[in-house]
Amino acid sequence: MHISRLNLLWKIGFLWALSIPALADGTGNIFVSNEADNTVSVIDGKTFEIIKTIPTGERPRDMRWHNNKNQLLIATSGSDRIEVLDIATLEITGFLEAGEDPEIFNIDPTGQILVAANEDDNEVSVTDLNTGKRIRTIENVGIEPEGITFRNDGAMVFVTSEVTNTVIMLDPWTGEILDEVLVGNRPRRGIVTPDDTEYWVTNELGGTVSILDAQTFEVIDEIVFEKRGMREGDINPVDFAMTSDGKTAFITLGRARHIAIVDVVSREVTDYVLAGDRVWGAALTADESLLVVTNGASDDVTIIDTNKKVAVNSVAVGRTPHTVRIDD
Amino acid sequence: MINNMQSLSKLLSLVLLCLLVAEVSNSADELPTITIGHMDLAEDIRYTDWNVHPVDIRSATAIIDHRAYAGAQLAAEELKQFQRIAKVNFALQRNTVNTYSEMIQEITDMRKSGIQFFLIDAPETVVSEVARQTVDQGIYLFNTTSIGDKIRNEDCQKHLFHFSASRSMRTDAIAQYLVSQKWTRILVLQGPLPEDLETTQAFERSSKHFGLEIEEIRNFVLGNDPRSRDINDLDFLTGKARYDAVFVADADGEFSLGLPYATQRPAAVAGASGIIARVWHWSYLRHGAPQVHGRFERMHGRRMGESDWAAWVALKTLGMAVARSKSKDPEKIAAYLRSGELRIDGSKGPGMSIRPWNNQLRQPILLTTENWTISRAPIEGFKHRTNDLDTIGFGERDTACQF
Repeated sequence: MHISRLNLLWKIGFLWALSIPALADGTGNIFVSNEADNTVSVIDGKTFEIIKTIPTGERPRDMRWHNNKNQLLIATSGSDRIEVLDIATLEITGFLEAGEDPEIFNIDPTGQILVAANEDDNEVSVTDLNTGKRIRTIENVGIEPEGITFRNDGAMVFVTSEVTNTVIMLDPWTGEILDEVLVGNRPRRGIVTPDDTEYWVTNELGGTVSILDAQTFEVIDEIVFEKRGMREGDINPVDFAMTSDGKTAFITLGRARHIAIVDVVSREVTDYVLAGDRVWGAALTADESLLVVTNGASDDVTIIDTNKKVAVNSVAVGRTPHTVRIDD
Repeated sequence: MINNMQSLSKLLSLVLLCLLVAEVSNSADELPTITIGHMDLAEDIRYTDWNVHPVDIRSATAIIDHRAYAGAQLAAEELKQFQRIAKVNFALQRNTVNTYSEMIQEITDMRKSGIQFFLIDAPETVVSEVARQTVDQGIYLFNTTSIGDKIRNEDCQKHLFHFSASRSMRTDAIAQYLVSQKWTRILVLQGPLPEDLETTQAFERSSKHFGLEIEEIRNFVLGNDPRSRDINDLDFLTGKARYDAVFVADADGEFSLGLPYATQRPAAVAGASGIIARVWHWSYLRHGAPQVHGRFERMHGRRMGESDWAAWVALKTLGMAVARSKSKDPEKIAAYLRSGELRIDGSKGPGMSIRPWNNQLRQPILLTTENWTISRAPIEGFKHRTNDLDTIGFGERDTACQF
C-alpha cells in the first residue's frame, strides 16, 4: 500500500515534470546559430519570419537553455567561450569559461555544471554555472571529442571521440574516466532515453546509430540507414531529437538530405523525410508537432510536420546554420 | 646440512614467488608494444629536387623538409589515445638509409628485433625491390608515397599495402573532372623523365576509359635554347592545335609552373600544374579535414602535404585495425585489412577500405589548385556497380596483380 502510494506520487510528479514544457509560456521563437556568420537568427515560431539577427562571438555552434529558458547559452568556439543570451532582451549579457574552442556542451539536470568538448585540445571542460569559471579539465578523452550527453540521473556523461571511434564514459563531478567503448566510425552526438536505459550515438561516417546500455555501457544494437537514391557515403547521421515519451527519435542524415524517424522500442526506421543539404541540428517544439532542422550546406532551416511527416516550410538564415533551439 | 638445504629451498621458493608476483603485476600495468618501422632514404629526388620552387632553393625561410615521417609522427601521437581501447602501446622507429639494399638489410635486422610493420617512404623502384626481397618473412610494408602503377599491378606483393593514390587513380580523377566540365579535347605535354612517360600513358588509359579525346602528345624540355623553340617555348608547344584543356606530365615540376594562363588557346591546365590531383591538400575544409590540418600544423609548424597524410592514414589504419580486430597477430591484422570489414576514416569523406585485389587504399582524390580544392573525385555521376570509389584506379577486372 505504502509502496504503491509512493509509486503514484512519483507518477504524478513525473507527469507534472513532463507537462512543464507545455505549460511554459515561451515566446515560441526559434533560435539558430550561424557558424560562418557569427550570428544567431531569431525566427518567429508562428509566421516563420526572421525577427532579429543577433551578433555573437566567432563560430557560434552548440546552444543550450539555462535558468528556465530565460537564458540561452551559446558556444562561440572561435572566441573560446560560452555566451549568455538573455531571452527577454535578446542581448548577449555575459560570458562563461569553457576552455579553448568549445563545440558541443551540455548542462547537468540540476543546472550546476556545464560540460563542454574542446575539440582541438582533446579535452573536456567542466564549468561551475554559478561562477562561470572552469573548475576542471579532463584529459584522455580520445581525439576530437564532440558529443556531450548527461545521463538523466546526472551522475555521468557520455563523450564521443570522433577519431578513435569510441564513446568515453566519465564522471564530471570527479573527473574520473569510467569506461571506453568502440562504436561505429566517427561518432558525433548522443541522446539518452528518458528512462535512462539506453544511450544512442550517431556514427557520421559509419552511417549508423550505435545503441549502448546506459548502465553497463555495452553496445547492444545498431541501426543502419538505407534508402534507394541515398549514396552510402552521403548518409552521415549527426544529431537527434526525441519525443518526451521516449517512443520516437528523429535523426538527421547530413548529405543524404533526409531525416530518419525511428521507433525507439523496435529500433526500426519508420520514415525518411526530405530536408536540406547537410542537415544536422535538430529540435522539437514543446508540443512535438514540429521538428526544426538546420541545413549546414544550404544555409536554411527546414520545418517538418511530425504528424504528416513532410517538410512544410523552410527559412533562409545565415551561413552554415549549426544548432537550433526553440523557446516554447 | 639438511636444515640448510631446506631453508635454502624455502628461500628460493620465496624468491621465485616474488618474481612471479612481480611478473603478474607487470603484465597488468604494462601493455604490449607494437613497434612500427619507418624507412626512408637520405637522398630522395622527389623531396630534394622535384616540385621545389626555384625561389625556395635559395630561400632562408621556406620549409623544404616535407618528408612523410612528419605525418607518421602525428599518427604516433594520436595512437596514444588508442591504447586504452586497443590494449596495446604503439611505438615508431625511424631508419633513414642510403640505398635500397641497405633498406632491405635494415628491415631484416629490425624484423629480428620483433618489428613486423614498416612504413616505406621511397620511390617505386625501391619499394618494388624491397617488397620482392621480403616475401614470406612475416613482414608487412605500407607504401606511403610511391605512386607507381607497376607495384600495384605486375610487381604487386601480398605483404605490400598502398596508402597513397596511384598515378592512374590521379589521372582518372582528372579525366572525370575534365569530362564533367565538358573539356574533352586535350593537348598533352610530356616531359623528358621516364615518370613523365608513365604519367602520359596513365592519362591515355584514363582518357579512353572516360571518353576524352587526346588531340596530340607533344614532348617538352625545360630550357631557353632558341634552336629548340618547338620543344621549350610555350607559344610553339601550345599553338596550332584545337583543345579545351592541356594535360601536362612533368614530375620535375618546374616547366609546368609557367603553363597556366600562357597557353595559345584559352584552356584549362591540369596534371602537374593548374588542376592537380592530390590525396590531400590543406585547403580542404570538409569532413573534419581542418581538425587534422590543425593538429599537424601545431606539431610541425607547416602545412600538411600528401606524403604526410598518407603516412598518417597508414599508421592510423593499423591502430584502428588492432582495436577493431582485437588482435595483435600481424598476419590476422593484414587479413583483416583486406577483408573489407574495416572502414578507414581519412577525413575526406566516404569510409575508405583496402582493395583486396591489389592492397590499394580506395579513397577520394582531391582536385586542387595551389590554394583551393575545386572538386573531389569520384565526381557525382560516375557510378560503379559496387563502390563509386572504384571508378578511380585499377579495378578487380583490369588489374594485373596476382597474389
